[in-house]
Amino acid sequence: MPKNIALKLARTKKDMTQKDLAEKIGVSRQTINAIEKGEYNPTIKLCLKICWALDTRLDELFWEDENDEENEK
Amino acid sequence: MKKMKNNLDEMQEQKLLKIEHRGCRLAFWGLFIAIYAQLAMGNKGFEAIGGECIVMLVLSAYLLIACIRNGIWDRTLKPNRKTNLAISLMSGLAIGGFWFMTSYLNYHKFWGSVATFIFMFIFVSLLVFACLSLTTVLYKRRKKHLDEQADKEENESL
Repeated sequence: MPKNIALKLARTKKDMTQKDLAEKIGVSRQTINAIEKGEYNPTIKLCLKICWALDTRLDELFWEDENDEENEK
Repeated sequence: MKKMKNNLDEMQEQKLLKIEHRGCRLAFWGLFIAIYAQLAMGNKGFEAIGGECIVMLVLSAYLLIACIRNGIWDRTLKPNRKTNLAISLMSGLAIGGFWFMTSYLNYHKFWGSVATFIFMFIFVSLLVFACLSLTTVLYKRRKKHLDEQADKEENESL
């Protein structure tokens, strides 16, 4: 999985640290870190919570082109 | 090494993880019950319970080390002194109660069995409390380390 730069940008735009975001949506700090690093594939539920917390849409943070997915394999 | 193809889809993978999770719990508590059933029947030697004890110790050590390394404590319980004390006392009561029954059924001496209960209650409670306190310290230290690592990575990437 590639790094989630969009999430990092959206978070910094909101002036939030990983810890702030983690506390806001009720997950551990390590989980946010792992999602941003592309080490953890969150469930759709968690993706939605992140989007609500950052006032963004799902596709803005988690959309990937089909080609990107193919390149990873 | 070539990675083997996964035949399961996402949902099947989640279901398999759940099945394995339940299997692990079943193995843990099954071994626990098997050990105590053997003890209750008077089979106390290494030959009777040695194998079960070794498997249970290895399983417990793996679970403990893996959880602490990943900064995970428990789903519902918090790692604090109050909870540790409650768990220790409950363990002491359960193990003390078991030895009270075993002692009474084997020797039919009430006060002797009460003494066994008191000794086991105090000993097990203290031991469990000490182990829980130690693992709490290790867990908190590891969690702090993981948080610091995340901080470092966050600052580096900005």
